[in-house]
Amino acid sequence: MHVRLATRWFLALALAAGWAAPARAEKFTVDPGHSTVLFRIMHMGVSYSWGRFDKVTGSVDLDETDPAKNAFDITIDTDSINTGIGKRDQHLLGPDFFNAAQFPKITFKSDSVRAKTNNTYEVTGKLTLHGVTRPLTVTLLKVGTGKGPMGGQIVGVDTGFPIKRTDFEMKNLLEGVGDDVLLIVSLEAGHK
Amino acid sequence: MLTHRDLLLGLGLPGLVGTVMFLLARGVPMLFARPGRRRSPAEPSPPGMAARIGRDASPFALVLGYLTAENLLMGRPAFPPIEAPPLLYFALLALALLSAAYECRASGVWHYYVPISIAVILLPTIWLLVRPLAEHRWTGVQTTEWIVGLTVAAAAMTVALDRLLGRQPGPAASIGLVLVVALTASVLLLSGTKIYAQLAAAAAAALAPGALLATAGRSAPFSRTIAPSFVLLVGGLLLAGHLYASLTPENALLLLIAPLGLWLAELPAVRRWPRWQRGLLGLAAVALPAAVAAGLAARQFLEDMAADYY
Repeated sequence: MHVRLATRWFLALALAAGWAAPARAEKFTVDPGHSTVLFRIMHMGVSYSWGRFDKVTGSVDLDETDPAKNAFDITIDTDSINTGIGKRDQHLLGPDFFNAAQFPKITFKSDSVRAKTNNTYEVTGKLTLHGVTRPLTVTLLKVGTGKGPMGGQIVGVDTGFPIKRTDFEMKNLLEGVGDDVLLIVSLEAGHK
Repeated sequence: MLTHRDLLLGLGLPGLVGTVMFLLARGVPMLFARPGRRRSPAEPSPPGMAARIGRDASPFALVLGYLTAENLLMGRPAFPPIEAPPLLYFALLALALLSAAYECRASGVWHYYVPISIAVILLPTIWLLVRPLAEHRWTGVQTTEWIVGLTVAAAAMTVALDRLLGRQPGPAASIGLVLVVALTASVLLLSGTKIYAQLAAAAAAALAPGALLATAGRSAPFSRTIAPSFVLLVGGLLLAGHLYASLTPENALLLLIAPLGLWLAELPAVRRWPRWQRGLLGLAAVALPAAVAAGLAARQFLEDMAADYY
């Protein structure tokens, strides 16, 4: 009898402790098949050319109750660039632009996250591109969360922000290809 | 796409810098040789030193042409350098200082100018050029193979060119070296890198006035002092062009060995020929492999552009 009572008390305490403990951020893995990185850049001062990176990987830590615990660690394979023209991609990967053989990854790692509204966050971190690391702050929209086709939880986030390529020592051929680059990043991530 | 800015900053100004260098160098011995000038007994013998400086403007013209173009086209390079052009920038600058010390040489240590240049500047530069791929892509064995191969090639090229120019082969050698740098620029442009091509073209533009002056008999041909700078510039850009752009190994090798064609004019059977005939033979032997590389690169470029125009 005493043993059963003690067990009940122990279970009750354990449950209470579980509820009271601070929620931990959930770790999601970026799904490359449902994530997109687009870029837009001025061509010859008259039009915008668009391209994308086909391989994006990384992790997203999301905490519904404490946004400060959110974290983003994203990696793009530079040689997955795709502008629809193979020869142009080859030129972009060369030393005039990305120099992908020397700098094969583009990375973003967040340092801090602050909630702006219930589904937007101000994310501050470091962007490393072309071997140069610069601080970057973006506004990120949490598009939604839900069940994925395999039953696990998935989450989607989206952001767009401008950078200057000269800030990353990409200074070549500025007369034909602009300095300002608009990046649009849309990520879907789920439990592994 | 070449713009007016490219032509002015990448060819015009480096050419002007080279012209000024060669004319200044030509003027230095005249200044020293001014009649009636009184010298103190402590002054070093001017004719020898002045003649050396006048004769050896070529390495400084080459380096200044490169530095001018890089500063004007790409901006002041950051230190430490993270890519091939700024790495070559600082290596060429160091080599120019070493060349200047060699020109003003006062001790026997400068007999070792070429080995010192190879050991202190050429080889570390090569290793720094290949380091990113050694870190990201190659296995330990591949890295060793590359480093050993490049070390041997750079040392052999520098010594061969130094020995050749030491035989004073005449203005044809100067023209041949300019031709190789110019065709290196063309091949790099056709191999997916405009910026490497512009830097090579700037060096060619800076050297060309010296070759022209030598051909016209107005100045001495390039001397052996240029050998390490030449190998560093051409070899460095070809290596970077192959590793980081689309330069094929065949074209890189053809351009690298092209200057050795000048040795043909130094063969015992040919040395009895008239000077102009030897010069033409040497020049043809330089031009042939370089032109083949340019032809191959042009054909590949046209095929690619026909399939994938942008």
